[in-house]
Amino acid sequence: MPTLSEIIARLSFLTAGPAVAGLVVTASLIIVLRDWRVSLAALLAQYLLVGFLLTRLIPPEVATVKALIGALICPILYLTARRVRWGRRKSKPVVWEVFPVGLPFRLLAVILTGLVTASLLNSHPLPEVPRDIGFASYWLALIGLLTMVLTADPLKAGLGLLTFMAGFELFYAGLESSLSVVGFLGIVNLFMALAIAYLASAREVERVGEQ
Amino acid sequence: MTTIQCLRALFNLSQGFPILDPLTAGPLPLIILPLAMAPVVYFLRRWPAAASLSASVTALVTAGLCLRLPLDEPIYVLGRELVLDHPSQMVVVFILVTAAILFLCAWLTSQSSSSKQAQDTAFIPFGLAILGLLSGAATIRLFLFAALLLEITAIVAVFAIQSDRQGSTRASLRYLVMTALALPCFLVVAWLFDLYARYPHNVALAEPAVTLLALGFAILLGAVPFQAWLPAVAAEAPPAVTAFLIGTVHPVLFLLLTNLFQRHPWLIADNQAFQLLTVGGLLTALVGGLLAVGQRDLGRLLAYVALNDLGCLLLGLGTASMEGLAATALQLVNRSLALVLASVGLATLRRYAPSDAFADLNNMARRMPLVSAGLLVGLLSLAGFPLTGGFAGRWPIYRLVYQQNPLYAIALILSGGAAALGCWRGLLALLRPDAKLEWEREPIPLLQYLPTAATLLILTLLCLALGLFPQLFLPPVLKLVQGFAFLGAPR
Repeated sequence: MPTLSEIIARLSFLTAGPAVAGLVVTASLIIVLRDWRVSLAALLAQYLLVGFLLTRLIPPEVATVKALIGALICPILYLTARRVRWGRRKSKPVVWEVFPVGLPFRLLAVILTGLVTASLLNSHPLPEVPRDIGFASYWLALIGLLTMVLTADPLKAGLGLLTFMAGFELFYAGLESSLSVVGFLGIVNLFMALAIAYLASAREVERVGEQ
Repeated sequence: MTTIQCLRALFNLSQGFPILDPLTAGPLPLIILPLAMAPVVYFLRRWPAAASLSASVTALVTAGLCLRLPLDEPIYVLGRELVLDHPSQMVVVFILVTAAILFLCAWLTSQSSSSKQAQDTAFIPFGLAILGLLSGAATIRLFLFAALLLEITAIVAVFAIQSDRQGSTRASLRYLVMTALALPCFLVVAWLFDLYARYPHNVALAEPAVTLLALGFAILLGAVPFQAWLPAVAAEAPPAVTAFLIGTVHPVLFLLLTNLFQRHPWLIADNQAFQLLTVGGLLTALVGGLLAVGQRDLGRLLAYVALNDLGCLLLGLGTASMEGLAATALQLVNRSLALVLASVGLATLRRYAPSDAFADLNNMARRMPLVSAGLLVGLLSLAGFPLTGGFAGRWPIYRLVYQQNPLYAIALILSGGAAALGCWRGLLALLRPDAKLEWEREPIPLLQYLPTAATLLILTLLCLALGLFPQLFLPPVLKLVQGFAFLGAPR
């Protein structure tokens, strides 16, 4: 059976350009699409891709732990999303945005975010991390912020929050790689997921009551 | 048997684990005790009286233990130093006592129906967990871990804000999102501290460190322009939760900020930090005061008056003087007392009025005079109205700010006046007669809410005593600020 290092060595082609490109796609899917299944799958893929990128900054074992924490978060959100939404027919459309934003608006916002990311990367390059990882960090953090701004739905905003945190942690791994910090950040992420799940459940009860 | 003897007996059960001896475990029991009791209280939440009492006793026992723990004796957990010094001891005791009072008040003022009663006291177990985490943040030496503990505190606070309430999640979500943005600022600052330790001549590190610190603390304190969560929490969460969050988290944040200035004098070498505090404080006070005038419900009014007061505290710290720090510390005490008083009054009014919107409060001052008076004194104290506790803390700040910039002082006084005007509008709403049936205009018998009325009376008298005799409370405050030598250092 191959060891973790051998697996990572085999997948080393993923730790540069493809992973960054993958993150561009997954983060875009999270903000553009409303289907929670696709959004959660994108979040899971995002954590795995962040894990691959992290192997360039921190020991593979620690990067794996970070990816596993992400993999733990996704089932929590999956179970919540399934409980509050799956298969439910809504008698009236639920407005989940802070202000009405259609697909063209969200696509345009993603394109603008890409431009802002490129501009920020040139004007304020992130210290201690390679340029492509700097791009991925900025991209994830900005898309996460944008998602939080555009929605009042706890689950969607939660995905934005976790995306923002993933972007920041990608950058921060280059600055601080101690195990205790990794552990604390893992706890923070897990607690965030629990809080998001709790808020999503609390809000859904009101919605059911309205119907 | 004293508190310490009880705890010793408890911990002796686990001989062979010297770390569990309360006197050799450093500040660890201050973290473990509330955290360990939180799940117990959570299981008691169906019986609000039991939950409130056990949480209050836990907080008070922890406070008693904190007073008896030896100072400046560090302990290492996973290689990280935890130490209880005099300022952190005072702050931890203060937040524990404030929390104990709030836990009891939450039970006293909770609604009569059992489901609502459980909702109003649902924050208590999370409150205990928050106390444990705040004790950790106040005693851990490394700022990096204090920041991480603060972030976990903020996430736990989300559960407290929602308090088993089904429906709108706006306040909790805003709080979660806003506070999460503070964490990256603090973590990068911690890295900058490490960098400065390696390159002590690199003074260019001070500017980004100060900017990020200002950003992080402004977000967590809810200062302008990051105040969005404060009115939302005050409007949606039970008043005790608002008072708890402001009354316990803010003192720890101020402690951390002053500790940072003390341990990293290079941060304040060019005065930029104090300038940021002054400008940010003035903006916060002005926005808080101006928005308080236009409010139409008491919950939001409480939030904006508290925002105005927060601006005053920041300005007090921004004066960069020992007197300013002492006034800020005194005002923190006044503020917590006023918040507890206002929250008890507001919770009682919410129990008997349809809502806390001004339009729904007609005649409440005549129906519940003591409650209305208590609420008004609490709000006016937060606004720094003369003869209340808030004025005693604000007056030295006004004087110090006037010495530095008279225009700022005038703006600050006017902002306080605007906040008081908002309170006056609240009083008018409470006094306004209504056209309801005769029996609905009758005063509510005092016996129906006697324990709450007694609590309100005591807190009101205490608030007025703080305003009339502030010198009684000065010695511990002066002792607290004595240790902060950075204020005397030449810059």
